[in-house]
This record gives sequence, C-alpha cells and structure tokens, in this order.
Amino acid sequence: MKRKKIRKIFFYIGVIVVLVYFLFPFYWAVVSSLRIPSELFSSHQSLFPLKIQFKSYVQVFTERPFARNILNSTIVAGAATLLCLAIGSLTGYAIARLKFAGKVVVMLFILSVSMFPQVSILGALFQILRSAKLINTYPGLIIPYIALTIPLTVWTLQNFFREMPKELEEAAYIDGSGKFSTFWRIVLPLSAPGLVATGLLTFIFSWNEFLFALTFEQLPQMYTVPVAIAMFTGYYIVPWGQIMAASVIVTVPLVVLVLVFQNKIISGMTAGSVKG
Amino acid sequence: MFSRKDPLHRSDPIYAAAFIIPTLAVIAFIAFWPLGQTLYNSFFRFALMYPQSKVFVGVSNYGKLFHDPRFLNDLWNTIRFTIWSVGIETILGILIALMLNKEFKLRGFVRAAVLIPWAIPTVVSSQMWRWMYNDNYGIVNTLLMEFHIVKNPIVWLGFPSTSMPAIISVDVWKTTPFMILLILAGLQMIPKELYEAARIDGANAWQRFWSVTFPIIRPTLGIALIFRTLDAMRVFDIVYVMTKGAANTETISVYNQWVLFTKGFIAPYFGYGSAISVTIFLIISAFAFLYVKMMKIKLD
Amino acid sequence: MKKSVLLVLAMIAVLVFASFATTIVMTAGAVGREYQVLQQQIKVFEKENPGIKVVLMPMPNSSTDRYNLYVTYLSAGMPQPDVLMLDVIWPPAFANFLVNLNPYFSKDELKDFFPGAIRADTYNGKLVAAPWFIDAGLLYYRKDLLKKYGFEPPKTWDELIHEAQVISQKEGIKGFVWQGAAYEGLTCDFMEYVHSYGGAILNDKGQVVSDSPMVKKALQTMVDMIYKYKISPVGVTTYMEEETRHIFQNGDAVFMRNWPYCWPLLNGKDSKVAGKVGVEPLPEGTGFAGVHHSATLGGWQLGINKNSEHIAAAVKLIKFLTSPQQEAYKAINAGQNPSRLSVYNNPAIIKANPFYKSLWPVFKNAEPRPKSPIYAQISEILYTNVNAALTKQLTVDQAVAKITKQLKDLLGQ
Repeated sequence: MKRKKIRKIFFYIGVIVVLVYFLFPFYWAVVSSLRIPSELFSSHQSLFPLKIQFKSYVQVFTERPFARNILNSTIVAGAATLLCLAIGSLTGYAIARLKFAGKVVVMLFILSVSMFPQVSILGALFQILRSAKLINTYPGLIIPYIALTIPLTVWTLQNFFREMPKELEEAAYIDGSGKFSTFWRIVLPLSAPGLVATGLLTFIFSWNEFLFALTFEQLPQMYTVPVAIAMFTGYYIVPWGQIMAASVIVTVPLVVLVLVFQNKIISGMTAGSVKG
Repeated sequence: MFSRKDPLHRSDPIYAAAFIIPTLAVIAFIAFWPLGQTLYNSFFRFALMYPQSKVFVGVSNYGKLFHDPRFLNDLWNTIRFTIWSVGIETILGILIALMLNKEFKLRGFVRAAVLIPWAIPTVVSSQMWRWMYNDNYGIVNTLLMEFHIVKNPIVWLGFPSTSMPAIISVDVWKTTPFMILLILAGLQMIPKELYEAARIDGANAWQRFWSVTFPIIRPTLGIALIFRTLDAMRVFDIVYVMTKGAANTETISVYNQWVLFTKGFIAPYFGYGSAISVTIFLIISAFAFLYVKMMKIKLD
Repeated sequence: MKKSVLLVLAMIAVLVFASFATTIVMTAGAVGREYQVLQQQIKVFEKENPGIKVVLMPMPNSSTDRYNLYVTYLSAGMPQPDVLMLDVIWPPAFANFLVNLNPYFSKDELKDFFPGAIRADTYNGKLVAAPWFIDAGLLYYRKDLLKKYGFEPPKTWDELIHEAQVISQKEGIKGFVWQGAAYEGLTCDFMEYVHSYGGAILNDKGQVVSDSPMVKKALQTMVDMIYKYKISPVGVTTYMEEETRHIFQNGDAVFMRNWPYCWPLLNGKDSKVAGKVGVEPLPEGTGFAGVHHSATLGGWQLGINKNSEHIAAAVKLIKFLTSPQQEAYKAINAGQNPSRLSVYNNPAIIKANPFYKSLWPVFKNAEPRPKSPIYAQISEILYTNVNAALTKQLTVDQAVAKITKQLKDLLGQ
C-alpha cells in the first residue's frame, strides 16, 4: 500500500515536471511582456514581475502595423482554409467513392507533394508569382498555401468519407439525385466533424507558415504575423518587451482554439497516420 | 447485389475529373511547375535580378556543390540536428504518452497543455526561447547562476558547442507534442486485457513494454518518425530566427534560402541556388522513398 | 478570397487615381521618431510645393530586408518608389538603376557635404545619391568611473585595455562592449581596428591586401580583449548595437563602441548612466606606421529611381530634405547627424548634441567600407571569418588567410 502511494507521488511529480516544461515558456513570455524596461533588462530577474505595465502591448499596435499583420494572417489563413476544404473535399470524395481509372496514381501524385521540401520550390515559385504580379498580394500567398495543405486534407477527408455509411448516398442515387447534388446535399453536411478537424489543421498550418510568407510578402504592411514577429527589430533596436507582447497576443487565440477543439485537432492530427 | 446500371458502382470519369481537376491544377501550378522550373534554372548561371543574362552551364552547378565546404558542412549540421532532435523527441514522446495513457485527475488538462507548443507558430516559440537563452537577461542563465551551477553566464547562441543543442532543445519542445499525441493514439488501441495477461505472467514494467506495448505502437511510431524526420531535414524557421545560421548552426534550407535570395539576387548565383534546391529535393525524396519501402505503407 | 480580390482592386484603383496628380512615393523607416519627424518635414514640403504629393512607403527595419526589397522593385523596372533611402554601402550595387544627380547639385553645394559620404555616393563618376544623414563609430565611456580611478579617456587600444581591466575588476562590471555578432555591424567594428593599425582590406586599386601584419594585429586585439585580457564578455560574439547599449545603459560596462544614436537614449529618463557618459574618438593602434583614430562611416542617402515618372519633383524633394534647415530640424528632433558640414555651426544643434562639436573631426574623417557593387558579399566574408576567430573556431592566422583567399576568389584576383 505504501509503495503504491510513493509511486503515485512520483507519478504526479512527473506530471508537474511535464506541465512546467511545456508551459513555462508561455508564462515567461507573459511576465516579460509586462515588465518595465529596467526590470526586463536586468541580470537578476524575479520570477514574478514587481511592477506591471502594459506599454509593450500598446506599442505593438501604435508603433507597428501589427493590427494589419493580424488581419493579413486572418485573411490568408482563412481563405486558404476555406478554398482548400472546398476543392479538397471534392477530391477526397472522388477518391473514396467514385470509380475511375488511375486512382492510385492520382493519390500518389497528390501525396507526394506533402514530401516536398518547401525550400526546393521557393526560388522558382517566386519567379512565377513575380511574373504573375502576385508578390505582395494576398492571392500570392493563399494559392501556395492551398497547394501545401491539400495533400493532408484530401487524405484525411477520403478516410473520413470511406467510413461513412453508404446507405444514404445510395438512397439519394435511387431517388435520381446526381453525383454533385448528392455530395452537396447529403455527404457534406454529414461530414461536418471531419471538415472542422481538417480545417483547423489547415488554418493552424497557414497561420504559422513562415518561409513562403517571408519570401512572397515583403512589405511591412503585407507581412503575416510570424514574419512580423521575426522582423521585430528597429534599425538598431531589439524591443524584447514588444516581441514578447506580440507573441502573447497571437498565442492566446491559438490556446483558446486548442482548448475548445482539443479532440477535433487531435483526431485530425492522428487520422492521417494511425488509420493509414 | 447491385445491378450494373447502379450509379454507385459505375465508373464515371467525367464526374471524377470534375472533382479531381481543381486539386491537380493547384498542385501542378504551385508544386510541379516550380519544381521543373527549378531543375531548369539549375543548369544556368544568372542572378534573379538579371534573368535576361542567363548562361547555360550544364551540370557544372552540381559539380560545384560537392566542393562547396559550406554546403557539405550544412548538410552535416542538418543530419546532426535531425538525429538528435528526432531521437530525443521519440524517447520523450513515448515516456510522456505512457504517462498520459494512465487515468488521472488532470489528464485532460495536461493533454491540452501539451498540445499548445505544437499549435503556436515556430517563429513565436523560437523568439520565446531566444529570450530565455539570452546571455545577460535570459532566465536560463539566471537560474544556472542562482543555483551556482555556473559562475559566468553561458553565451548559448554564440558558440557551436552550445548553440546547436539550444536549437535542438527548442525543436524538441515544439514537436514532442506531435509524437506524444500520435503515440497516445496508438496506445489507446491496446486492449487492457493484454496488460493483465502479461502482469499475471509476472512480466515487469520493462518486459511488458517490449512484449506488449511496443509491437502495437510500432506502426504508429514508424509513421511519426517519417513525418518528423522529413520535417527536421527541412528545418528553417527555428534556425533563421534564433541564429540566422551563425555559430555553425546553418542547415541546408537556411543556406539555400540565403543563396537564392541574398546572394543570388544580384550576383549570378540563382542557378547555383536552384541546384542546391534540387539536391535537397532529391535527398528528402530518397529518405521518403526509403521509409515508405521500410514501413511497407499501403497507399490505397 | 473575395475580400482579398476586392482589396487588391482597391489598391490598384488608388494607384491609378494617384497617378494623375504628381505623386512621389518615398521609402522610409516605419517606426519611431524617425518616421514622425519625416512626416512633419513632408507636410512642410507639400505646403511649399502645392503641385506635389508625397506618399511614404514604410520599409522593413532590417537593412538586409530593405536591400532585398529594393532589388525586387528596381529589377522589375517599376516606376515606384520614386525616392529611395539607401544605406551608405549600397550606391555601387544600385548605381545602374539610379538617376545621376550631378546636374542638380553645383560644385560649391557638394563641397558642403561630408567628403567621405560624397565619395561613397559617387560611382563611375556619377553622383547616384545625396547624403541625408551620417553615422560614425564612437567610443562611449563612463566619465564618473574614469575620474574615480584617475584615468584619462584612452588614446590607444592598449590604454583602453589597461583602463578597462583595472576598472572592471574593481567595480565587478564588464570592461568594453562592442558588436561582435556575425552581421554587417561586425564588419564596421573590424574595419575600425584594421584602419587604426594602418591596415586595409582592399587598396585604392581594389586589390586584396588583407594578408598583412596590421590586419592580423587588429584581429588579434579583438580576440585578446575577450580571452586574454577578459575585458569583453564572450557574449560580444552575439551582440549587435542594442545588446551593447542595454549593458552600458544599465551601468554594467565601462566602455562601449556604438553609433551616435545612443547619445539621447543614454541620457534619457530611464537610463542609469544619464549625465555620466562621455564620448571620444575610438582609440588608435600602436606599433605600425600609419596608425590613426578611425571611425567607420555609416548613414543613409537619398537616390532617385531611374524609371520614375516624376524625376523633377523627386529632385525637389531630395534637395528639400538635404537643405541645411531641414537637416538641422532632423538633427534636433530625431538625433540624426547632418550630412552637411555647415549645419554643425548651428548653435541649436550643438545644444541638443554637445558632442557634435568636439567630435566633428571624427565625422569628417569617418572612413568608408570597401566600395563595390558586390559589397554585401565582401562584408559577409569579413564578418563570418572574424566571428569565427572571435568564437575560436579559427585562429587569427587561419581567419586572415581565409579572408584573403575568399576575397581573392570573389574578386577574381
């Protein structure tokens, strides 16, 4: 009995270590963003801030186009997600349910893109987007993001469609409904949970992407959030307080998203791999 | 059985085409066309700024690559980074997943907390850690000095001996959650009875892990390893934000981006940069192919 | 998607309509006092020139990113931006894309600008940009601490090392902080040591002359400050301007090498060293012929895009911004050093920045970095190898040998 108790104590110590390990950096970012400069740049920082100020948060929005950067990220990630779901679900359905020659080739073709190192198409894609006058525009980032996220979307959605009962679709066909209207009226509404799970992953991916955003959006007012935060320097100055404030600002919505949709995200993450 | 006329089992290429072509078009336009263009570029010598003065140089850009000490060094850095970070992540991932597989009060909360590092942008986590590793004001040095583990602050990101471990630590923090959750999903497929049987047989924890748990999570683990290895080989964000490749932390992606856009913008190195891009593509593809073969993944 | 298409359309519409009036687009730093002061100046300009409208185009703050962005614009042959803000080392790289300003500035007028800056802006006999404000490396020191230990401000690096050693040990603070991270700033610092020992990287004919005892001694001095005399923390190998300023402003260092921008900040409200700071020219080397005090020339220039559709209006803007009155206004309100010699006689400016007077020779004699259209690559070779020596990945001899070989390969010598 006593041994069991000791084991339980050790177990909870382990849990706490894990929690601290994963959460401390956030705590520290929050604390740093609230410190006054003389406390922030001191070599003996207290674990709790002694004086609190919100100046860094104000500066992020007044001294920089950070609100605009958030808007950019929202537009780009939002549009990429919706479009990716729109065309990805069609393809996923075709692969799961329709019969056609060369299905395996199509699937291989699509999946192979997920293995592409982004950097190996970076230069040429820049040239292409430049000649299409899409550098420093939203579509110039949205379209590449669709291509990057579509393999996973198609893969997880086709898994999802496969597991749906066929009876409803069959009934619709017998009623004389066409392929597209069956898909639109019957299949899509039923697959809402799968769409949400995949959509969340696509959104998080597009929101976080850095290399393409860095290369294809070069004006400060077109930066997405990750690029803006990576570029958070003055001509000389490295404003750590502001960097931490901005980090906190973009982390909070993601934390909320994670807490609310925890199960959806995990099922989306694991669907492609465990079942495959 | 359904009749041959049954719409569900008839092959209809027109619908299939309509459903599939948008996806194929985007992929062809954004992935395969640029890939072909990169290959084409790699046979020329030119700057991005002066595309009109292209000189055909055959495969000599590839020849140069094997005598470029910086590329070879960066390739080694990338491999080092991949082995260490994927290795540590896997071990940590298994341990924490086993922990989360137990029933306990805070489980849901811990699982959500673990997910957060994975969800935030890599740039943000890199900045957070860069601040914690700051030599003068970073919490890491403050703690080490407070507990008298070191006397002078360590310049984490300034020297090769500490900067690569620091970068690896950030990657581990950021991507272990992915490992944990995948392995956890695998673990939850194990029927409880199997453990009971093993326990009755008198197997200790270690034996139970090897004889019961491991064989079942092996396929999941394998897939997680593929994803993570391919990801780690392409690492860019962490290095770019934390050191920009200084202190011998440059990886092939960071070097490639630099050659293409900083060096190759005005000087005639864009073709050479494209050759690096193609080489990176081939290396990653080789890994992917090897893995797919090894794991015998079925694609349909 | 719809929203973004609309936005793009709106942007295009604005550009189209704007093109009917004479609108000049000018690139500018996007943050802080610099931006606000410039906006004020633009208002005055627009009042004086009713036909012209000026639109400021915010630029990324990092110099490298600005450079890349300019390359994108200029290589595409776009007519905008019309007026470009250029770092002192860029004119050769962009010379082919910029308007020759010689016809617009008389010889007498040019004499009023710092000669080093005019040299930096002239390429193949053409004046491709006008100096706007200048920067030069300075030695900041703690007046109070030097007085306490009876020292004079150091004239040579050896004196600096000695004073820093004594004071830093007694006070338990750092001796000397400077910019040692692998980036452009390290090239600036390194060039100052090289010049101060009478050495050079490229000679007047552009030949590589870096394999000299002076260059080795210069690098050795930098390395020894960290490892032998221990007056500089090993952290300097990762420091840029701001890291050093924070340390110095916290009262944690005796000496600092930095640019003039620090002066108002060090004397600001939240500074622990306000009123205790002195500024001097950087020390000189010893033991070689040609040793002298050296400061690296920095600063920003204004150039005009060759494809601009409003060159006349753009010239007006540049002449306005580089006029003595406007430079004085900028110096007082944004703390940026005027590029005109005559402005330094203005008492209001001296009052705001007292060291302008005593350090006038430093600004006047500030030395440019190597001048080349591929400067970025030259600099990269310098700072990577110097940083490798500072972090002991290479010995001094190895680093100098590598610099020499790589430069010769690059320049085809």
